[in-house]
Amino acid sequence: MNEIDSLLASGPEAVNVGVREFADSLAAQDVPVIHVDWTPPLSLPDDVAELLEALG
Amino acid sequence: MSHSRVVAARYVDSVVLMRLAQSLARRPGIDDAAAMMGTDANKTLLREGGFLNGAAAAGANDLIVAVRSDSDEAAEVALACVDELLAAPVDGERTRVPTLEAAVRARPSSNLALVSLPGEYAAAEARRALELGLHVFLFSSSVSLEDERELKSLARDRGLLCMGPDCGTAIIAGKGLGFANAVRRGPVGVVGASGTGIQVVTTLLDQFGVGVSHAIGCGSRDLSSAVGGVTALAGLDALLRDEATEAVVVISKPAPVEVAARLRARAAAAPKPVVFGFLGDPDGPATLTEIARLAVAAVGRPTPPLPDTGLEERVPLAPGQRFVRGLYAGGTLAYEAQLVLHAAGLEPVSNAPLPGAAPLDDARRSERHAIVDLGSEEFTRGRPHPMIDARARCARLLEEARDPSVAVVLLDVVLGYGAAEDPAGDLRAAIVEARRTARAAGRELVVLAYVCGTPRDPQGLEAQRQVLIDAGVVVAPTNSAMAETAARLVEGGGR
Repeated sequence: MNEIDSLLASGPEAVNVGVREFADSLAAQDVPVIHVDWTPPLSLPDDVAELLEALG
Repeated sequence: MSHSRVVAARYVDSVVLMRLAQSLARRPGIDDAAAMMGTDANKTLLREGGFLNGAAAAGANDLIVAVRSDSDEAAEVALACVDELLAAPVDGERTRVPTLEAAVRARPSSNLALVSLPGEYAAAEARRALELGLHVFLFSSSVSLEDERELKSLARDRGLLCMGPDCGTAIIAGKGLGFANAVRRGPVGVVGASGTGIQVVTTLLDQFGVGVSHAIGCGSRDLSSAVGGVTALAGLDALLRDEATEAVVVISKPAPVEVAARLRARAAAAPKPVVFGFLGDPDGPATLTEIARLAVAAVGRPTPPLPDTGLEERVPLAPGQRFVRGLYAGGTLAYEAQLVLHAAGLEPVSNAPLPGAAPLDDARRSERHAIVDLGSEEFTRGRPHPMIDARARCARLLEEARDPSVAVVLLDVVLGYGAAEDPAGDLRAAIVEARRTARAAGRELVVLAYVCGTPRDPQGLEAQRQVLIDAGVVVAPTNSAMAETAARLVEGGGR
């Protein structure tokens, strides 16, 4: 069974990233849900970011 | 005078920001309040609102909270409460992790990521989700077309669904994602590029006793030539294979010829009926109600008639009252209202006009027959959507009530998961005040509303309708019936 058919057959098991209410709504519908306490990536000066990138 | 406070390195999502601002604005001595992340765009909005005093140096990852008050002391007390308000406990039972990767490690059977981050971060997180093998429901708008194409191409290569960006609604195996209604399960599958379009059609299917197998949202741009209907095609194919689905309905504004042709070619070879609801296509169904009825017919069920609007008696309109004003939270509902008014010969203007129709010169000021989409980007940039925060719509309603040329105001009230807890209640005081304002000036302001919902929605369909009726609103059974009633009223001088 392909991935999309499998989603439709078994229903969502969700990871929520962003508005917390959406996780609450899923939980209220008995959907298993994990909420990600997301934080924005650090905004580094371009030269520092390039250096980090170069260092891998 | 505004007072502000910057909470460094504190990310707070948009709904929590809205609640924080509302809660501060209700405190004694506070006239108004704002809470935003300190991005450049938000700082511009705060500056325009006179809220940026003392917070100009805040960065994108800092939270800015500002209040307007004549009293320094009241402002200080309010701003001191911010930590307490932010620390309010939230669903302690739920598993919480710092990253998507950690979420998948914590529950390897996870199969879908719901992403509703600010636009500038959303694409990267959606890409990460797809790379982890998760289907994506990408609620965020403001994602570039280039990112959308790349995400959808990645999803296609991996056999995954990428619903969105700008995807408001989906129902997968009876479970609503984003803004979705509690719709009974049934034989109709839905593929839709319009969030409120899906909500209206699925709630009507529920009302007709038919129900929905799945509703797959694609995002507003999916059927454009640039994106090519990648998600719509994947969704349509999946529903055509799905055993629980007996017929499929596709809901969108008219698609470009080549994209529509691709979808129609799939349908022509399909073993089950496919209804094309290209709203606004001269050869297609004229309203969302008609689309729902065609879907019901496609599964061989009868469609019961809808109840009348209930506005039978003559309304004593004053001589100058001649315009309809639609104040919409749902974009497709605003679009449908324009189609109905246009068909009635009224030539509506809008900030989201029909193709070839006149735009509203200033979205913030109505003129003629104006249909305003208050959920459009110009109203929601840095601010909560009117489906969860009624303040902007209440203010606009009071403005319309002061305009002696306004005869009828149209409101959509959208229920379901994700929507406000009491959307009708949030509008009630403004409706009562608007009608009182008009009456004091010797006019009768007709307020019509359409409630999109089901009896199983958390807010309760009948309870919400009753709140509106008690406020003097005439509640229409469908949005198109509401717009038809409005057209008839202004054309017939209140008849």
